[in-house]
Amino acid sequence: MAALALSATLGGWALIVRDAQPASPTIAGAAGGSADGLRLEPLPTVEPLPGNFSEITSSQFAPADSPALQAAPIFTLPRGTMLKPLARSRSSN
Amino acid sequence: MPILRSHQFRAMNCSMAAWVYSDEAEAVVALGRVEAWMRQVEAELSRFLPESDLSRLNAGAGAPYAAGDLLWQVTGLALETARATGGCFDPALGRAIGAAGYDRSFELLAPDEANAAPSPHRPGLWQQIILDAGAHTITLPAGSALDLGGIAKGWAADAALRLLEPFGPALVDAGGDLAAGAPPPEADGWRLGILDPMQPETDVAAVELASCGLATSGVDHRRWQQRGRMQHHIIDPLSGQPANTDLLTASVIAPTAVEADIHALVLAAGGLAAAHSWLRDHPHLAAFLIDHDGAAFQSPHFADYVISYFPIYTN
Repeated sequence: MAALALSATLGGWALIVRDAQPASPTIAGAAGGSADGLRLEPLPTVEPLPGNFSEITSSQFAPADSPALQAAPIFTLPRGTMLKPLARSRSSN
Repeated sequence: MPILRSHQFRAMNCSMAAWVYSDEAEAVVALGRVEAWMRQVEAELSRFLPESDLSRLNAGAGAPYAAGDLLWQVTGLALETARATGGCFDPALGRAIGAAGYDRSFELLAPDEANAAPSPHRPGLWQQIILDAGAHTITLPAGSALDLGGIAKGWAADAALRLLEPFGPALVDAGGDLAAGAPPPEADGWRLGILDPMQPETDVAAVELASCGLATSGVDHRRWQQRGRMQHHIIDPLSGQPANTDLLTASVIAPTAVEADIHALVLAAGGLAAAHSWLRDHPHLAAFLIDHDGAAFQSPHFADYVISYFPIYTN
């Protein structure tokens, strides 16, 4: 699966960007080698964090009425393997 | 540890399932009751079954209709919700969704539906629905139709959960609307996935929940062509047309499945900017939103439930 998350705190909101395009070598390295298919060219500043998430220090995705950015990282959970969940939420209505 | 018992079935044109941790043999019977319950809800509240209570109500719009208990309860809840949301949740969009082409069970829609004639939309018709508690009748405005699609499955999931809870920790999946009971033995919650609409074989997040609901609404499924235009089943209550939303899906965690179901629909219809203010006004909700480009947004509390984003499963 070619997906990775980046985060930015937007007044308590978070934005995760993922892309299935060919990998960016820089970010693939920061992602611990599991980020094939990642492309992050639009992002001006990317600081690697432990695990597989990186923090974006940019307001480019902030909604117009969003308060100022907060710098605190919000994703610290390592990406890893786990047992398949019993159920999945999905749109079907 | 008690045995995890499960039962999977189809109802309301969806895959459904229920689980309960219990050593009691009666728990198996209760799982069977969950299926029977879902079939009863479908039989009475489907707008595609001509003999359902809902279809009879819609066919007789303009005159008082003696509603069965189930239709009465859900209609009452739907109207309370419409009031509480200022009409953002609108159960009186049956004609609008039919005019958009979704006038029969989804699998029966032709690739390009052109048979449905557009009809003038009158917003706010839900305010003219009359519930007469004394006579136990519902009166719809003439020319209108009720659609309980945005509320019935979540409501049914909550009720099904109550059938199982006497036997142990339980979980109900009503076509993706999930009602989670007490945590499983030796766990903090039920481990659940949120399907990635961009890559449906994977999940965008795995969460752990207990004693609450999780529902997803979106335009990623149940789309069809009408006169060359892509249509979907989420209707804008103001225009009466399929909502012009920038969101592909909206997933909501709420105290109950029905509340999650309702708010997921409102968020999916309203789009990202509206969702931002909606969630500020409803801070008890946690939401995860995905737009048409695949970018994902989460509300502040959502991360509290997350075990992993883009999880990799071992089985």
